[in-house]
Formats: sequence, C-alpha cells, structure tokens
Amino acid sequence: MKLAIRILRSMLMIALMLIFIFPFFWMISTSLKTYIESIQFPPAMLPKSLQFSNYVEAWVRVKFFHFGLNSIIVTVLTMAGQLFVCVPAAYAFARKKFALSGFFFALVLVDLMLPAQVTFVPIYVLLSDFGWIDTYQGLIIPFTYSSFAIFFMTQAFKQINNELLDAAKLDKATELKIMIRIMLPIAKPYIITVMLFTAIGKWNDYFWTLILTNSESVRTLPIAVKGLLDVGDGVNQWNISMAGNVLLMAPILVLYLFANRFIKNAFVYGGIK
Amino acid sequence: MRPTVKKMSSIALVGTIIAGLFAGCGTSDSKANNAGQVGSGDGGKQEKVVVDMWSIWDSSNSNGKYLFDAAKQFNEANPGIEVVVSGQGGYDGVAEKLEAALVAKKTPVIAQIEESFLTRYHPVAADLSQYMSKEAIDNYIEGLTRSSYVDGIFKAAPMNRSTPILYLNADLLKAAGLPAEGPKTWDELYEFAKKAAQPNKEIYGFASHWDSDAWFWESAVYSYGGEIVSEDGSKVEFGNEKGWKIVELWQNMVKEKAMFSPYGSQDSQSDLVKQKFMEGKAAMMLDSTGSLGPLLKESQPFDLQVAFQPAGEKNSMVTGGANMIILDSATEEQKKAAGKFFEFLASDDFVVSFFKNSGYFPITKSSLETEAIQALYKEFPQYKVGIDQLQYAHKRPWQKNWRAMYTTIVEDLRLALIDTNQDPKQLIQKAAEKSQQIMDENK
Repeated sequence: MKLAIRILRSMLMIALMLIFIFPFFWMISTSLKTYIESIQFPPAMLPKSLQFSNYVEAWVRVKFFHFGLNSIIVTVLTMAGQLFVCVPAAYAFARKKFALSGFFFALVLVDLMLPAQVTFVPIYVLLSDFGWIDTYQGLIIPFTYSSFAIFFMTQAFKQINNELLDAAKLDKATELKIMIRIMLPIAKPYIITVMLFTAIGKWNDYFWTLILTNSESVRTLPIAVKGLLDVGDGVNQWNISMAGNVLLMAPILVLYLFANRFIKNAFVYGGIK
Repeated sequence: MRPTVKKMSSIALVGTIIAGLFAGCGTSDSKANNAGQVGSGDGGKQEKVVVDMWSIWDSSNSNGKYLFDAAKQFNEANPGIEVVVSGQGGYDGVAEKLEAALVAKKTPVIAQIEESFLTRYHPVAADLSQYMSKEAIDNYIEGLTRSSYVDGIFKAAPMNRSTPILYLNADLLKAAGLPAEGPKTWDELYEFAKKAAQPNKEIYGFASHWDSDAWFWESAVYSYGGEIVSEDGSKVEFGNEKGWKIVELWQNMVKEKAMFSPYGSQDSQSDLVKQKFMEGKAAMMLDSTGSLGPLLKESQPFDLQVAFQPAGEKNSMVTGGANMIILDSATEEQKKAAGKFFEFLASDDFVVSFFKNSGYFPITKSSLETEAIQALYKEFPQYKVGIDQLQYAHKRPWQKNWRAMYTTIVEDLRLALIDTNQDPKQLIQKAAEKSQQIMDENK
C-alpha cells in the first residue's frame, strides 16, 4: 500500500513538473524554429533544423548590451534600495510600538491590494513634476518602497524569539546592531526570497518602465523584447520573439538556481511556524 | 573586527555606486530631458533643435528599425536638428502615453498615431501646411489623406499605411475550377468559398477575423454603402442592414464550413488566420496589405495572388496604419524641424525603401513613378493591387470615442462567430445602441 502511494505521488510530481516545464520547453523549441514552423498547425514539437540565427537576430535587434545594462542598473539598485528602506520599516512594524503604527501598517496593506492601474496617472504626474520621467531615479526610487517586502519581512521578524532580543538588549546592543547582527542573519532566507521576487519583478517589469520612460536612454530589456513583436498589422515572428525571451529569462533562471535553497527554506520554515 | 570592516566597506561601496550612478544619470538623461526643448549641441558650439518623436515601434521592431535609421540619416544631413525617436508600445501605447502626457503638459513634438485617432487629438495638432511645402503635401496619395483633414486643415501626414485586400491561393481556386482572379463581390466570395472548401481535407474556402479594432467589419460596412457614424460624428449609423449584412454572410459561411473562424481560441486571431492560409488550408484570406511583404518573402508552397477587397454595393474600403502629427505645444523651431523631417520621410528614397522592406504602402505619388517601384511591380504585380484599390478609400469614423466604441463592437462581432446562431440584426443593433451611449456620455 505504501509503495502504491509512493508511486502515485511520484507520478503526480512528474505530471506537475511537466506542466511547469512545458512552457519553457515550448519557448526554447519555438526559438529554434523557422517562421513557417513556428506557426504550423498541428504544431511541431521540435524544429527540423536548429535555427541559432534567430538568437543572433534577436540579440542584434534588441541591442542587448544597452538595454541589458539598464536592466542590471535598475534591478540591482532597486534591490539595494529596498534593503535600506523596507528592512528597517519591517523591523519597526514587527518589534516597535509607536504612535499610529497600526494605521501605517494598514496603509501598507491597502497599498498591497491596490492595482497599479489605479495609481499610475497620479504617480506619472507627480514624477513628471519632479522631472523624473525618463531618468534612473524615476525607475528606482519610488520602487525602493514595496508593500509586499515590508509585509513579508514584518511577518518574518515577528517570528523571531523574544529571548534572543532580550539577551541582546541586556548586552546594551543598539537597535541598529540588533537589526543587523541578530535579525538579519536569522531572517536571511526571507530577505533573500523577497530580494529574488524584487529582482524578478523589476527585471521583467514592462508596465511601469513603459509609463515612466519616453526614450531608450534608460529603458530596460522587456520593452526592447516586446518590440520584437509586430504592432498588430503585420506578421509576428514568434521564433525571433521567443529567442529574445530566452535571452531575457536566462539571467533570472541562473539567479534562481543560486537562490533556490533559500526560497525553499523561507517557505518551509514559515509553514512549520 | 574583521567582519565589521568588511561590512562597512561593502556598505560604502554600494553607497558610492548609488551616488555615482545618480550623479552619472544626470548627464545620460540630459538628452532625454532636453527632448521637447531647444537643447545645446556638442560642446555648446551650436544650438541644436531637439525633436522627440513618439513612435508605435521600438527600435527592436522589424519595421521600427527603418524609422530609427531614417532619423539617424536625417540628423547627419541636418546638423542643427536632432530627431530622437522612441517607441511607446504600439498603437494603444502611444495613445495612452499621450493622454498622460497631455495631463502632465509634457508632450513630444511628433506623435505617430493610428489614423482614426486624429479625431481625438486634432485640437492639439498643428496645421502641417505651415511647416511643410505645398508640393510635399500634394504629393501624398490622395486616398491616404482622407482622414488627415480637419475643417480643411491638413493635420496628419501619412506614415505606415495599409488597407485590407483579399489574398488568394490561386492553386486551390484553380483546383476547384474557379478563376484565379478571385471574387469581385461578397456574394461571389460566398460562392467561391463554398466551391473551394474541402471539409474532408480540412481545407476552408475563406479565412478571416474582425481584427481587434473591428477594422475588417468597418471596411465591409463601407462596401455595403453604410457609415459608422454621421458626418458630424454625433449619431451612430450602422444599426441597420448595412451594418449586419457582412456578419450574417460570415456566419453562414462558418455554419457551412466554408469559412475558418479563429474565434473560440485563445490565440492571436490574426496569426491563426495567416497560419491557415500559409499552410494551404484556406483558399482566400482577408488581411492587411501590411502582411504582403513578409508573406511574399517567405518561400511560397503555392501561387499567392491578391485581389481587391470584395464589394457589397460598391468598392469602398477602410485604410489603416498610422499618421504623424506635430503637437502644437512645441516651439516654432521644433515644429519647423519636424516638418522638415516629415518631408524627409516623404522623399522618394525613404518611401521606396520603407515600402520594399515593410510591405506598407508607398505613400507618395512621385514614388510610384520611380524605377525601383516599377521594377518591383514587374517582379511582384501583387503589390500594385492594394495601391490601385486606394482610389476607393473611405474616411475613418469621425468620433473621438471611436476607440471605446470599437472595443465594445468587436465583442458583439466576436460573439457572432463563436455562436453562429446569434441573430446578427440584434447583435449589431445592440452594438449600435451601446456605441451611441458611449458617444452621448462622453461628448
């Protein structure tokens, strides 16, 4: 009986894995097809011959160095900014009692529930008044605040044992020291998970980048990769577009492989608690 | 001690990078920030007029590349001007960003907008005859400028333009004993489609879709002698037989398996239709002339021919694609520079190369006389069909809420082909009522 359950469970896992892997397989397979093969029906699973030239075309058309560098700058600085802004905020919400703390935390939660489409015009007008449209500042500074990051890390900090903090306080450790030396190392899996979500979100962000930039000078990869598709009155070269998407996704995939262990920890740890 | 030093130095490093980048981005952004104003040129030796243009294409787009290259060439030939093209995410992207920019009062100098959007943006568009020569304006093919005039003032210059045409798989038509020239009217198309269809081989006689802005439906309505809105744009006029005839015809064809309908699938309808046609599974397809170039470039497994869009009561069809406007809020120097750039984009050299590479129309009369186009006609006579058809071009709906209207119309049209038992009269009547409501509520 036990064996049967194990077999069943393994089969379920394999089925789930296939469901998750298939879109990636399809993207890579399409990226190596000719145009005709890419629109064929019924679709061919694999290309007849591998069209690596699709990658060359996508690379050249998308100007990967220029947009890729912008993507790296914007993503890395947003992550760094979130560490400076969201970690102290989450620490305060989790561990401090201050006037209107409940109200401010409720505001964070409300922001978490508001879709971007509701707020984008006022934000655009505000940033336009600051002169931040089409600048790195505009793409980074507003995003150093993240309601998701604050909420997630507040929960993490709340789970840390009080005795540890009391001991530190007895040793007359400063707040900064407690946060950096005690809280951060314990909450490491959470922080890495939040940072990875931020990295993925920022790396793939199309909406805000399109709204807050007008020229190519500070734009990031998703805008350029989207440009590989037609605007609606011509022919969509799915093969080239998919090659661009593979190139766009590759760095995130590598990052995920490195951070995978921490993410699992964060969720398993949170689950047990 | 060690870890602290390490930590401190890494914090300092991150701080330095952030500070450096923000200091640095001041300079790298200066160009973008200056766009829309008169900026200073290299080393401040010469004042440059910076003209920023919002395009439907990004530089990575296969057609956009030619516009970006043109701006580069133009800038090299005109040292006092710098045209900075930037993509804004397609037709809707430009429209949405323009709305936000108008609120923030930070508009570009040039905007490339979908032909019918002039009804919305003409109050902020400049009179182009002030900034372009009369010869240049008169040189545009007349059929392409029918939606460019507002109260007799020329406000939108043609850029990438197209029109629906009927694509034919001549081999399939001949095999069915039909003339390869294709049908002339919608009723003939019905007969052709029935004869050419081979349901046992999953071959359809005809394949098409309404398009995301109901473009093909709008075109058919004109061919039946109908109108979308009244001349002054105050009343909906399609809630009648002229509005639903094509819907009924397509429903019948779908029911009889003579027409392939891409609705009911989550995929891009436009791609599904092209896919059927290119695979030799549809004898005829109604699609934009914009697809002709790319389709002819692909190796053809069959004889690909084209014909006029079928007529209902008469030959009349829509045009589409984008025009360019100059925003009136720009400075006089910028507007003059923009006008000069429009003339450059209407030069024979650019028009011919853009046409050959993209498949969009050559937009000027003089370009049609060039050797290059004549030679192309000889090699691919298919290109001439769309241009000859332009004499029947119809003006687009003069209604600033057209975008909101077609979004609801296309829902009913889609429903008509998903459930072919829906009564086309009722559907179109309902779409007309909803459209009228949108117009009345957003005057």
